[in-house]
Amino acid sequence: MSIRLSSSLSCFFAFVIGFITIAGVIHVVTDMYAPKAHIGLIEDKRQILETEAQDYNLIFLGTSQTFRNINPEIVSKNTQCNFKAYNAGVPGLTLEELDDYVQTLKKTADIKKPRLIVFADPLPPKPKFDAALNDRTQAYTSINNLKTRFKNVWSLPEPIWKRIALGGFVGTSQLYNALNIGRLSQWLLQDKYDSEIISDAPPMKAGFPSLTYDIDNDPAIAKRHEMFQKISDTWQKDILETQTKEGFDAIENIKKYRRRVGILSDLASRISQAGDIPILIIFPEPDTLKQDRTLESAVSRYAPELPILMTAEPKLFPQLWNKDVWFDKTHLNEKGAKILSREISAPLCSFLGKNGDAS
Amino acid sequence: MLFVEPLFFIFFAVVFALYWISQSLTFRKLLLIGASYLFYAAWDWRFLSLILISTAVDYFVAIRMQNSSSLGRRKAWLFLSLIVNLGMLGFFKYFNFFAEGAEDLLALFGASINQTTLSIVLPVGISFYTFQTLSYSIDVYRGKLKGEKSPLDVALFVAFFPQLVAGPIVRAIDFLPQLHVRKTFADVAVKACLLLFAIGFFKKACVSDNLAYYVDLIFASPENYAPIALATGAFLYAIQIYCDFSGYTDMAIASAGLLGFNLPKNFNAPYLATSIIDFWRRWHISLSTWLRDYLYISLGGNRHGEVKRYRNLMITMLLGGLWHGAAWTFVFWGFLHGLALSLNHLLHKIWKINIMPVVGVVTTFLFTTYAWVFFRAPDFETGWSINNSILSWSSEGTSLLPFVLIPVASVLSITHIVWHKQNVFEKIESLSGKKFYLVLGGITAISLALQTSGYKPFIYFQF
Repeated sequence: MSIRLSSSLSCFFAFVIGFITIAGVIHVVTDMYAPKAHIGLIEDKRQILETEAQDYNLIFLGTSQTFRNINPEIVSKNTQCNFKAYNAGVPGLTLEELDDYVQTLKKTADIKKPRLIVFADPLPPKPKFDAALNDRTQAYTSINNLKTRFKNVWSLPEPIWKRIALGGFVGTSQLYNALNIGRLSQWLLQDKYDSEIISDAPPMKAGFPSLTYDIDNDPAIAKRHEMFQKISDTWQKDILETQTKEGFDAIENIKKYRRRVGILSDLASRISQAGDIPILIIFPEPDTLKQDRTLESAVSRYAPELPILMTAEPKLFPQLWNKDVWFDKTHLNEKGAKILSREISAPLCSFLGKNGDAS
Repeated sequence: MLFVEPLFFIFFAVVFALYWISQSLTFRKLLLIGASYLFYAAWDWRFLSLILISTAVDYFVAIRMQNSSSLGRRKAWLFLSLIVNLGMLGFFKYFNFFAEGAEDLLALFGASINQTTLSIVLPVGISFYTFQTLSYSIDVYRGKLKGEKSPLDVALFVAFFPQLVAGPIVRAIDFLPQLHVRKTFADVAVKACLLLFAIGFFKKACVSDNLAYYVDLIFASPENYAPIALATGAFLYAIQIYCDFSGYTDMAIASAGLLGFNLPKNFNAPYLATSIIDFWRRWHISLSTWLRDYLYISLGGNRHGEVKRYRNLMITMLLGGLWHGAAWTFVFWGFLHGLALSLNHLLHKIWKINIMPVVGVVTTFLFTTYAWVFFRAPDFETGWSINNSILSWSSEGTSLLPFVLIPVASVLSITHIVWHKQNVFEKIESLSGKKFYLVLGGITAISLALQTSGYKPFIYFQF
């Protein structure tokens, strides 16, 4: 019995050695010589940050909320600060991607001309296998990023089972990458993969997309818009109106957010070390108002040095607590983006006045 | 659930572990039946009912035939099995084809009938398991096999998941006796099965799925392509369909083998065949022998003179073509093969010509590729226009396929020839334990890196 077991084990190890040897060679060779797949909007904006970031003095980093809620042209209209803003928001932006953007910005940072970098809390990986295996996730999958990904998941103020499940998706991405799935095929038959890439970038002005264009051209976005229209009256009554009433100041347990604040604080300190000025922005999202307030309180307690631009509070921007300025429950429409962009311009300007030279 | 998907590996690992842990023969059968139904339900659970009906009817019919001494009654029971099985196949697969055909025929005589086509979904693998169950009833009728008393055995024979959806078409006479003995893992040729699975995976995921993209381009709009691109597309399809189907079969035989079952060989390097007769001894062997034993011989085979022999051959090949799908392109493909087989027999009989093997291989491959174009084309006109453009070397289109496909196809062809001529499979299999697994690890790493992103269903699932 023990002889059979040891023989099976030695065969298994022989298989693993054979696999690792060949997979390792393929990994190294493709890393060195194979062209990288184009990964859409995130890559386009990264290139802009790499080549043009020094032309801007106000850069927004974040997820689809940044992408949809910030109209840089409106923010730049504030003549007092002479802002030249760029929206580098990308839907679904995760911590390692945000990290990469921060690293990219570092290359063009100039301590004499500090820029205002307004960043939002990144998202965790999507709990879908397709998302774990797609080109964008794979492009950011590496041993170096593995720790960042796990930190992103582990710091979430979520129940432990949820974090473990999300960790499973991180592990899946890593495993898929380590197995080199499709790498040689992608290299050999490159034209096939190039033709399969569909640009996910709508027409943009300084990184801000036209929502009207998206609704007309992207069936998924059109459907989302339609669905929201159906429930918007109920949402207005049940959520928005309730939250604007006096005494609605619910908050969660702050301790749960400690690790998350640590991550945000770390990002901010890297931005400031490069010579720029970081600000954490918390976007309005009525359905998660409680969590947004808790995050704000947690930042004040655990990282008081990190400046916050809190836009999620109904008392601060009551105009946004109206269904007519929303595209869906999470993102503002063009009208809402205009209001928010106009409203944050002054606080950003005064913040820049305190911390750097706006011109 | 495809053999190349991670889900299948998880599914198979669970079945494999439970199967070998258990010592009870009944439990093992129940496990495999349950797993097979689950495997099938992963595509469409609704059509499980067809498998259950087929199983129940053939179990009942076989027992009745077994217990009946009257030839008339045995015939009646067989007739019931044929009606039920062919009725289901006919309805789901051919109803619209014949309804449209009838409309067209009536239109020729100036009559018209209302549109009678139905929106029918083709159940996966129906052609395979129908032929399988039919062989059981016919063998019992012919007295070659006794009616199986255990309903579990019949259920497992019909639904055994490794070959349920795309063959090989297993005969009851070969499969049922395997269910009567309790297998031990020591009897399993693990190395051969693992290597065969890896080869099948490579053929399907690395070759067929990658080439599919280019083949689809060519057949979707052939008018855009230059003759060289059309010829390349036709050759690529020949490679694609072989790798797709034989890859599936390899994985099916290997999966069954790991559970201790022997399934018949379905392919034997068909593109190295020296004649079209030889080709049909090497391509989809389980179908060609089925058609020979249950159709060609039933029609009289070669027992009533040369003319009837060729007639029977043509009928068999036309129906063989129709078995693949309800379209005239498949019928024409069958006709071409029927014609080629008849000519091949005729040449052999009259002139007793022995051509050089290499000439035979090239000629046979060129002919099968020509016929494949009709098999793949969306309609007869497209197939005709592609082949005409290739043969006349003229086309209005100027687009080309990427040059890289020519070295890729050449490397694949050379590897295929060397693999079979040098018995590489046997050489790898005969390596000592550790060396074998070292090589297998390397093959696995290469296969994963060469596999395409996203999985395409096996071509033969549609049949």
